Amino acid sequence: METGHFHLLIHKHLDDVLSSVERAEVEHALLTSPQARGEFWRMAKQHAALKLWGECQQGSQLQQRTRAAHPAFWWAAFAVVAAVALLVFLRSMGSDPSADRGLAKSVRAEEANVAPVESRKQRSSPATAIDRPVVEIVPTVKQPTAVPKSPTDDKGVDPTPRARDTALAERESEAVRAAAAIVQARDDASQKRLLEAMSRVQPEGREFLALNQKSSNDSLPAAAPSPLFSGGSGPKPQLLPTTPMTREQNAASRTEIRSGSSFFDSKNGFGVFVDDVELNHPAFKLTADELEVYMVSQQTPKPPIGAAQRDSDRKVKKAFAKGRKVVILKSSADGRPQTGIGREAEYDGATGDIILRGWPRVQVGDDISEAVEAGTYFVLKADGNYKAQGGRVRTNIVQGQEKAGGAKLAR
Amino acid sequence: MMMTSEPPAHVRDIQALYVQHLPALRGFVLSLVSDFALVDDVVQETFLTVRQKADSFQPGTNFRAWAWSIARFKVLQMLERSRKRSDRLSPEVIEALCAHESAGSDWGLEQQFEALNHCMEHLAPKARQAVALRYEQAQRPPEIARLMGWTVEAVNVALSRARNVLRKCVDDQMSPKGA
Repeated sequence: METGHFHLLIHKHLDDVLSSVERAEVEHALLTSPQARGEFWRMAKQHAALKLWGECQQGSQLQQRTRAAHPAFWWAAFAVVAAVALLVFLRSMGSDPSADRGLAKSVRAEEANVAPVESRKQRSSPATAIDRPVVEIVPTVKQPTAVPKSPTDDKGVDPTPRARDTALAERESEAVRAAAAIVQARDDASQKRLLEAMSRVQPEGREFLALNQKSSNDSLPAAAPSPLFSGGSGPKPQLLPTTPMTREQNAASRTEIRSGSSFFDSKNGFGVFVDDVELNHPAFKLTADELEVYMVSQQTPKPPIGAAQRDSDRKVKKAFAKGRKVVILKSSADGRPQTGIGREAEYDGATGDIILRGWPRVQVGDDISEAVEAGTYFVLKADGNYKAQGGRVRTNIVQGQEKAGGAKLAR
Repeated sequence: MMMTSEPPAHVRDIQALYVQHLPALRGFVLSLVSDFALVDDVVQETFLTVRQKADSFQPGTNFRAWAWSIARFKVLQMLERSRKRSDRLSPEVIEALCAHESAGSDWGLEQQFEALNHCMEHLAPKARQAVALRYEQAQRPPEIARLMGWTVEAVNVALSRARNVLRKCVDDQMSPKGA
């Protein structure tokens, strides 16, 4: 492979914009050539240095902005540091070394409070980046001001087994708290993306959301004791009905949606899903960052269960998918795999057609059609055919000999 | 109030080693994962595992190789979990790359960082803008293309050329002649 082309492909990989064909090319080179692997790491090291440089620049700019906005902050920070230094000095005049350790730790704990877990997405200077894991692992928990000492500590002998067990248990609980903080931060971010997605829904969805908001405000529960506690007047626990031991008849017609976060209005049959959304429809499979689904209305709504929404009785009326890369997988009219890629997709349940927009591309077998104008869109028909509208397209059809040649090379 | 004790000495040593190797480890993960948003998650999980397994690390052995193997495992785990794993390098390629890198070459990020400060001035204004958007603002080429009014392919080519210019300049700076 030509060096310049290989460099471009590795750079595209580092920028996360490698196409599937290009990735296959890169992977082949990396698997077969040690020189290619060496070159990959050289470029990777430059990429890492550039990232470090970029974060440092970002940090400097933030610092300048903060200084300009809050000049008094630096005086306050200096005063705090001076006060802490004075306290450390005064305490060091005493004889209890553990007190110094406790004070130093409390200072670190204060620093940790300044940078909670969410700050890991922010840019920072190299020094901050280096300190980051320590700060993140103990996000907002106050450190102890003094460590309980075992009787043997002062003699330089190992602590008692009890003290060791306590330390171990505390270390474990610290790790659990850190993990919980990470999960919480991820969940918060996911919820934020869900709210953003809900603010961008179609007009029909906006109406549903408004209605939903209104009904939830109207039906705010009064502060009354719950009937669900053991002594309450609620229904008594009953045996669950037995599950029929027969195969489900309609599994093939089931639509399943998997996502990181979701909102579902079962009354109106409307849902918003975000984060690695995967829609498994009997006729196609779709992946996207965001998805809005409108179901055909019915009399007896069924509430959703968890993030994976299953609904065997209701059909999708319309669906709108958005994202950095919306991928649709289905079969073409002649049974070959058909892949559509774009940034927006609209599914019409009445016709079964899918409209793909945002510089879309459709691949059937080895043949590829792609938009060369911004307005071009593809209509993926329910019968497996597709058509381009709204602008020009470029179509590459691989001839029989070329396919055979390609297969020969692959061997 | 929650009371916690200071971690044992060997855990503190491991943490210090981790901090020392963090920039290179982060670069290592960045090279395999590409998505900036995922990198910090993998590095975070690597740190948690390093800390949990601190007892199993033998002082005096190669910490970097140990931490790198944990990070490699976390990358593979993340790719396994990822819905978009078809967009990433395959596990076989990652294993081959890691086997090549395990020899342990110096990442020299500090020296490269110093040289980059100087070399950025050698870039054309538009190329510098593209590099700044990519690395300061963490924008991907499609967003850069939108912000600069270019096509995505033009951004890809511009970034690639800019990196080649920077690489030559940094090499010159770091060579004895440049120094």
